Amino acid sequence: MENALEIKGLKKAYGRFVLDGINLTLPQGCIMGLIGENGAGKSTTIKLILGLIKKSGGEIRILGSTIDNDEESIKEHIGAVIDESCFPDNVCINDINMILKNIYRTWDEQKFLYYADKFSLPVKEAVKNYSRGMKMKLSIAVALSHDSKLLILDEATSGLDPIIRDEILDVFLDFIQDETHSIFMSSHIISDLEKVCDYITFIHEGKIIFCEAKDELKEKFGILKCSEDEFLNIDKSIIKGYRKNSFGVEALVYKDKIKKDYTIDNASIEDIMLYYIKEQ
Amino acid sequence: MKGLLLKDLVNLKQQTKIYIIVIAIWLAIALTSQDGSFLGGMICVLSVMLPITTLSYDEKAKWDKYALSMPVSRKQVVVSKYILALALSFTGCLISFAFNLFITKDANQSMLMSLMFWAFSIVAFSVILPLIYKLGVEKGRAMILVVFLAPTVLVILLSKLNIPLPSKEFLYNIKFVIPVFIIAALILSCYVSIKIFTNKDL
Repeated sequence: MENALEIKGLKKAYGRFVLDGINLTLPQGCIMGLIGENGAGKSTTIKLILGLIKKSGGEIRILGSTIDNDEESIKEHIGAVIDESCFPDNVCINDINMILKNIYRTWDEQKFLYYADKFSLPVKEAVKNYSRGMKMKLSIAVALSHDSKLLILDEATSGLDPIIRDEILDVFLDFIQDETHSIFMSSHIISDLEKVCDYITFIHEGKIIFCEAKDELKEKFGILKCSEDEFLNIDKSIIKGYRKNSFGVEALVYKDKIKKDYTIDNASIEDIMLYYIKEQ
Repeated sequence: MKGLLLKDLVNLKQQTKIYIIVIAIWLAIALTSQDGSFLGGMICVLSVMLPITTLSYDEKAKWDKYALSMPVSRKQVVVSKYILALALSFTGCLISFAFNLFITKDANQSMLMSLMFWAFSIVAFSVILPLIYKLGVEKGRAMILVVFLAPTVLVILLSKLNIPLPSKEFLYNIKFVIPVFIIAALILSCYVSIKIFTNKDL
């Protein structure tokens, strides 16, 4: 089974910011979350995948093909949600349905109207009157209403309240039930990614720090809380990153290397990301 | 492509009521002065403004980025604007012809004037569209003023320098060259716009 997304040696230079040899692979049927600080290169990576900006080097394969060769046929199977991008002001859901019927070969009107209803989007109201959350929901509805095999989501859940976010995550989990479907999503809301993702890719200052299975990451790392003296006695190779607070020290440690008598808490993906950066 | 055109037409639909009122006012002015040229000129300007308005809406919604995630090529995005501009300017030409005929009852003169304004619309958006693709809509709008003022300034300059304007006979003789020139300008413009847009980082 081919990979949904394969990126090798992807490079892009923008003035001082450089995306430096990104490698990642998303197997079909999986969800990958892309995390990183603002300006780390998440949106740049997604724009490169979609061909919105030109790469300086490397290769991107989506569903087995590269975008320059097979542009329109691959895009039939991609559903993208790009932060801030939407339909022009004066169109409404009915108009959008009519427009997209003429753009996507596999446009499914019923599905679209179903999602519009499920997300409580007013059918006759012009897009200019939509809130940010509504525009996001609209983009998501569009992404799901044709034969999408890969959803590419750039901050698709930001600006949404926790209730609707939960509903949308359920929709994504439903989408992934089909083994030929995959999702690549970037988000700051790491708790969302933790709920649904199989893989987590962490990008920092244009480089991939890790690209691993979420469960493996959580198995690998734990949080150690101890006093400063105790901390000084610990072998530094076990520690991934640490921070001092008024009670002592908190450190991200490799679970299998730390001695058994210490109490180790579970590390969330957010913890892992924060401590990795603190190590830098 | 059809989807892209539909999107623009639907987006503009909102404002059709305003256009109808505005055109009705111009028609009233033309009737009272028994002169259709003002009407023809204003319709010409309107038909160039409309595609630019759609570009402005697109820019505001960051539509291009979104559209390119769909089975739509950069070339199609550009060509659809040219088709829109041609269709709108031709519609303007027909409306202008109909109104002029109504006012002057002179079919030949109406047709000539309408075609002339249509030709001018085509040249105008052939110059403006690549500029907008290169510079964005705000700066492009400033260019519209220049494009519409330039012929007037040129004529005034020529008369001040005592250079005679081309005579009617001269224009009549080159009348078959003019359409060729216009089509060439249109094709060149489209080619340049496609080139600019294809190389743009969105």
